[in-house]
Amino acid sequence: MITLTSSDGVQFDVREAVAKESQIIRDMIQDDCVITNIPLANVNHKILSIVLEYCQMHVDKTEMEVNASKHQTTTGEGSSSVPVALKVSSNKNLNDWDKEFINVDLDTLYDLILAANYLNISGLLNLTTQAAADIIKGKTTEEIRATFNIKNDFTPEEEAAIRKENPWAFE
Amino acid sequence: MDEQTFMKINAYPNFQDYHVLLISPAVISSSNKAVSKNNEEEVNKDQENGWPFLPTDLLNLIMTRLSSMADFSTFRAVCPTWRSLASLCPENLAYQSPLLLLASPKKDIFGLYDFTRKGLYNMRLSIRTQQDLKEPYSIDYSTCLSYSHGFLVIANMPGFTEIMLYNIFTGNHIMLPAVKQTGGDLRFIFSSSPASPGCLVVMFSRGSCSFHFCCIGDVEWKCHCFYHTRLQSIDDRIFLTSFSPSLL
Repeated sequence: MITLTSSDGVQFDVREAVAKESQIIRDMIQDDCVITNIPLANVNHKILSIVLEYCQMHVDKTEMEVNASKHQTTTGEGSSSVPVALKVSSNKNLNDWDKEFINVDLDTLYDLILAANYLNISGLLNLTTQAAADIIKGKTTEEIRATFNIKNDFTPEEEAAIRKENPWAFE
Repeated sequence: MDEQTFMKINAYPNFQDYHVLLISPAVISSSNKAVSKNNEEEVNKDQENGWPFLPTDLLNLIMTRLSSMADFSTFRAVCPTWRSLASLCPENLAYQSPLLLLASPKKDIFGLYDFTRKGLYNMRLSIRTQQDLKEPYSIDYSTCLSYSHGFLVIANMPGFTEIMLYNIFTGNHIMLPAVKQTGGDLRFIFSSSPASPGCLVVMFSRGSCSFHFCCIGDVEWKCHCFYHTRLQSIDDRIFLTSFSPSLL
């Protein structure tokens, strides 16, 4: 077991495999195998619990697959079609689970992107940045500014250049 | 393809009149290098929080997950930070899916079909240029002759004498020298992107025995004639057809 401490001092006891979903924690543990308590200065307890939920789910699913394939090798080739079907369905379930998992408000999504980057969890970083891109897709410039609370601070010259660009896309 | 798109395509009768060309956004720019990331803004990131202050490397990850030119150009128009990040360089544009260009020498309209958005964008080619602000001198460019490197080669109808390059992505215009005689089936070949320095343009009519050439910025065309030959082009190479076909 490893204890992760959030920036606001809340401790989370997790299995080593779950903590190792984070590349940065994996490196720490490999460098020094006696580490059992890791303080995470940039992640608060609310975000850390969401991140750990993601890691837990992905570790569980991977372990389930490993067990299934072990089962396959012990029972021989006759029943090989069953574990394959199981693997496909578990991948599908995991994608569905990811989709449901990332259905969060924008502030949480922002914090999750920063946390995934800080902890270096590539799967979570892919998932969160893709979610942010999906929010942008199909929106107008004004809608994007309103959604992300971004100020339009272009100079009039820049505005004119932008209006000239891709007129077909803004019809 | 949904019904709405199908209806829009019906706006293109005489479909055989159109060039249909698959264009890749990555080729529209060859000279612009990626704008170096603005590290000065990152100094303040500890004090500022929220989407407008997302570190640029993370914003870049989001940008590369957009997959259509329309979304990419909307992204560019949000704010100066986003714009400098999503510069029109091949590295960024390679993430965007190709577009299908519909353009015709007989029509003043062109269409772009977006595969990811499954939508067709139409635009009229009634582009007016003002050569001098004091003395407005404008020409309607309304026919599309060719396409290369993001640029449509467009001319004024009828019997075009003025030829202009119009970049459908950046909106930039480049004038080519005026044409004295108007041939029918004009072909254009560019040595590189017209936006890059030293681009050579070759213009010829299919089946004629001469071709015109100039550099971008020249005031007139130079001409080269062959005797007893006919010009053809395949994939940007000119073929001379005589007794024995040879490659130029």
